[in-house]
Parts: sequence; structure tokens; C-alpha cells
Amino acid sequence: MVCILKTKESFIQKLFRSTLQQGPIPKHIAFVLDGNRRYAKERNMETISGHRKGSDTFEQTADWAMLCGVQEVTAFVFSISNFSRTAEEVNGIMSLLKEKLELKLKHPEELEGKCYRFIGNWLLVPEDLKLVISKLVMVTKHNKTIVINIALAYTGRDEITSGVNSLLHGIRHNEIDLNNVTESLFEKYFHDFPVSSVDLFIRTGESRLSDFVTWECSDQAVLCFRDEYWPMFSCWKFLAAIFYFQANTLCMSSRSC
Amino acid sequence: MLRKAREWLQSKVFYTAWLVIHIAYQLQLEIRDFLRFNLRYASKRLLSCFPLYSPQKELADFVEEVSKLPKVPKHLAISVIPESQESVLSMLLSKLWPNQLHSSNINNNKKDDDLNEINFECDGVNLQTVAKIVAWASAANIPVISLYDYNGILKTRYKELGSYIQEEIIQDFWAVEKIKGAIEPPVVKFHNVHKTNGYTNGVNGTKSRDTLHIFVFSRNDGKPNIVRAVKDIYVDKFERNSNNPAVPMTSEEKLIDENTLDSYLNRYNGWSSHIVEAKTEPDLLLILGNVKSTLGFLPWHIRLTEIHWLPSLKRVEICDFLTSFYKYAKCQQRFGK
Repeated sequence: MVCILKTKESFIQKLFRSTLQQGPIPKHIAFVLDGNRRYAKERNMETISGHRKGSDTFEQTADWAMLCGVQEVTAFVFSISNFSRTAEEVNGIMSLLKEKLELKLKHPEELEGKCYRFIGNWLLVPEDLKLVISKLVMVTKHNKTIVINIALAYTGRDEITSGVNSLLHGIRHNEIDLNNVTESLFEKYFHDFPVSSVDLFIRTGESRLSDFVTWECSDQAVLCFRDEYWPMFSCWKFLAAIFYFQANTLCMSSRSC
Repeated sequence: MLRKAREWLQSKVFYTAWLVIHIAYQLQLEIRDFLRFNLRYASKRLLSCFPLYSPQKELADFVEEVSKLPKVPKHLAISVIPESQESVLSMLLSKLWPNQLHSSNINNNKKDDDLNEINFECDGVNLQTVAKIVAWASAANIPVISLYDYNGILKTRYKELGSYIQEEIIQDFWAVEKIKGAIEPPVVKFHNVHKTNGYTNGVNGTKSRDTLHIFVFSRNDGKPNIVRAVKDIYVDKFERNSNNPAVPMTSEEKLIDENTLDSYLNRYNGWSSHIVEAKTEPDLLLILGNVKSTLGFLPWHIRLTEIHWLPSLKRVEICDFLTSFYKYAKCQQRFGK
């Protein structure tokens, strides 16, 4: 299957990537796309321009991930707590997201190999955006090269609580036995589709999880906190994060006490 | 055949290059760690020749610096990583002869079962050092401390740990008395461990003015507690209230909200409503060791926690602590806004 990628890779980047591919590649990478507004402010740009640049950066990053053999990426696009921002900014971000997703639907060749999914509180998503997301999810559901989870109207706590509610309903309706509830069964109730545990968590700008995939990256996800703002995240920084993942995986596996 | 030979050679070259860059990286980490620790040790030995220097003065300076910071964590979590027996460098070097990449089979399937295979079972935790770090935090006026280790060693040996902590606090107290102006050292109160008659270290913690609240966690307090909450919530809502018509039955309706789940988990953690000095969620998590993972630390409570890494338990110094506090003081919490 030929995947059309927007990203151009230099020869040296390709060489370094091929070297890194000799070691373990994270199956699932989670990204917190933080710093778009501060990036825009420092460059005297409008806030929405910072978000646009951030969106472009994520698209490129997803392509690099696909090239490296990553199977799943999850992007923290919009938190439930972000609804407390100004209406102008919230509407701007939702419109930008709708525009980007509609553009993808108009160019299906760019969707080759990419399976888009949505995670978050569906009830909080604007109606017009729901339609576009649903279309994109349906159109790409059979693609298998990489899964791209868009976390929209999402928090880790909301996800866990929603999982608890689904499980309680399941027990109440005798679909599950209370005594058979385990961690692995519980996490299947978070979403309608499986989201694997996170291997590498990349966050730009700050050193915290910000209520993102707190369950999924709890056990052994390598946390990679970077100082730069998200729009400045480049291919080299992505490859450095893969290297960092490998170095820390080796460190964890050497702890044979 | 030529193509296969070329591919084989290419893979060997790339694999060797991969090993070399990782060996170089681990080597520079170990050299840097070695130099930092030994230079500090040497400078301390040198300074101890001078009458004005002492570890107590170092602690007093630390307390003074922390008191000037605009923001200090009120609830500090400390995750202790046991020391590894094999260095990564020696493991990588052993891969050079012979090629063990495929047979080593580094497993990326990060399920909990794999952590058991990695085997964090050793008792490589020095309680006295942990006690010293807790004492530093207490000296910095941090009222709530959560201690964490994956295997629950700290929980099993909390009494021994408590004694060490109390000794360190009393010892340090006199060094910082002038700065803090306190009359007596704080009492150590463990919350989520088995206690006898509500006393801790022979003193009734509830009567003391200054109390250092300590929680001790292990991996079992994280995800397993959330699963436990599901079962307990079900029993409380349905099996005890089987005739309650108010309980919703449709799948669209929420049975519980975040606050309900939060209250169950805080109860399991031993959190008391009497603790008003800090929130249930740690402000800052310090991971002592070069493992860039939370290793199962309370996923429900870690959502907004700043996470910093410090040198391992064997090598951590008070200046590392202070550096982390400087970094914490500069961080901004926007809470989504």
C-alpha cells in the first residue's frame, strides 16, 4: 500500500530513522500539543494561527510516526477544561478542526493507511463537528497502517468515570459478573474500540500529564517532556523522542533486581 | 542473492550503529552522573575543613532559599525506584558479542504482566535515605507527603521508616529552628497504613499543632483501587438499594460522577477531611531514579501533578531537591484556560 505523505524526509533523517528502527519502536505514542498560544504570542500572531501551525505540526508528526512503524498515535486536541476559554477561541478551534477534517475527506488519497478515531465526551462536541468526525471515522475504519486517535472534549478522569458507568450498566444488565471485573476488562469499557496502553508520552512546554491518558500511560509509558512549544516540534525532535524511548526502555528492562 | 547479501550487510551496519549510539549515550550519562556525584562529594569534604560549613548549615540555607520562593508544593509525592543490579551499559556491551537483538526480545507490550517479568521485587530501598528526604521536605514546610514504590516495600516497613523519619526530623529541627521559629518539631502521622489506637510513633498526632501527614502507596493503590471502587459502588448503589426506584436503568444515564469516584478513592487512600493544608492530588511528584515513568502511581490523582526526576536514592542531594523546587516555582498552571 502506498501512503501519500505530506512530509519530506532528508537523507540524514532517513539514515537516522533506519538506525533507530533496529531497536524497539513504541507501538502507541500520545502527544500533548501544548504551547500553540504562547508560540503565536511570541511571534505577534493571532492565537488561531498558532493553533493552525500546531495542527500542521501534528499532521507531519503523524506521518513521521507512520514512517517509523508506530501503530497508534493519540493527540490531545481539546480538553473539557478548555471550554472555559473565551467563546471566540473555542469556536475558532472547533472551526479549524472542522476545516482540517473536511479537507481530509476531500482528499481521500491522503487518508491511505490512516484510521481516524475519536475519544472524548461525545455529548460535548458541537453538532456540526460530530457529522464530520463520524464521516471521517467511517471512511477510514478499515485502514490499518496507523490509528490516529483525536482526543476532543476529553479528560482522563472523564474517560475513567465513563468507563465506570459503562461497566456498572453492564453488571446491572447481567452482561458481566461483578467478580470477573479486572483492570483489563475495565479498560475495554472506556471506548467502543480498543485503545492500547501508551508506550511513549510526549508533551511540549510543561512537565505534567494534564489529565491526558492517565490510565493508559500509568504503568510503563516513557514520559518525554520537552521545553519547546508544540508548533516547533520537528522531525529531529521526534526522532530524538524515539531514541529517548529506546534508552529508557533499556533502562527499565535492565532493572532485574 | 546479491540483494539478500546487501540487505544482510545493511541490517548489520545499522544494528551496529544503533548499538554504538546507545552505548555512547549511556556512557555519557554514567560519566556525567559519576562526575557530578564525586565532584560534590569532594567539594563537601573540602568544605568540611572550614569551620563555617556543616550539613546543618546546608539544610538551613536550603530552608531559607525555599522560604523565598513564590510557590512551594503543599503535597509532595516521592517515588522511590530500587537500584538496578545491571547497568544498561554493560547490557548493551554484552549485545555486541554475539548479536542478541532478536533473542533479547524487548517487549513493547506494556501490560502489567510484563512488569512482573521485569521483576521489581528486590528490597533495594534504603529507608534511612528516604527518611532524610522526607525530613528535608518537612523542613521546607511541606505538610503532606506521599511516598510511593512499586512493590510496596515502604508500606510493609512503614514503622521502621517512621522511626527513621522522626529521628531525622528531630535532628534537623534544631538546625532550622532559628529560621522557622517553631517551638517543637512536627509529629509524623501515617494515614493509610494499619495503625494501633490512632497513635503514631507514641504520640497522638491529632493533638499536635504541627503534623507531617504521610501517605504510603504502592502499585496496588492505583489501578486496582479504581477497579475495587467499581465493585464497591455497585454494591452500595444496587445491592444495598435494590428497591430504590431512583437509581437510573438506562445506559445513557450516568450512575456516578467524578466526585463520587473521587470520594471512594480518597477513602481508600486514607485521606481525612481534617487535612486542610493540601489537596488530595500531589502538586509535585519527584521520581528518584532514572526511570522515566510513573510506574503505576495513582493514575486518578496525578492529572495535574508536576513531574520531576532526581538522581537515584543513593545519589540524591539536598541541592537537587532545591533545584526541583526552583523549577516548580516557575511552572504555570493554566487549568485549561
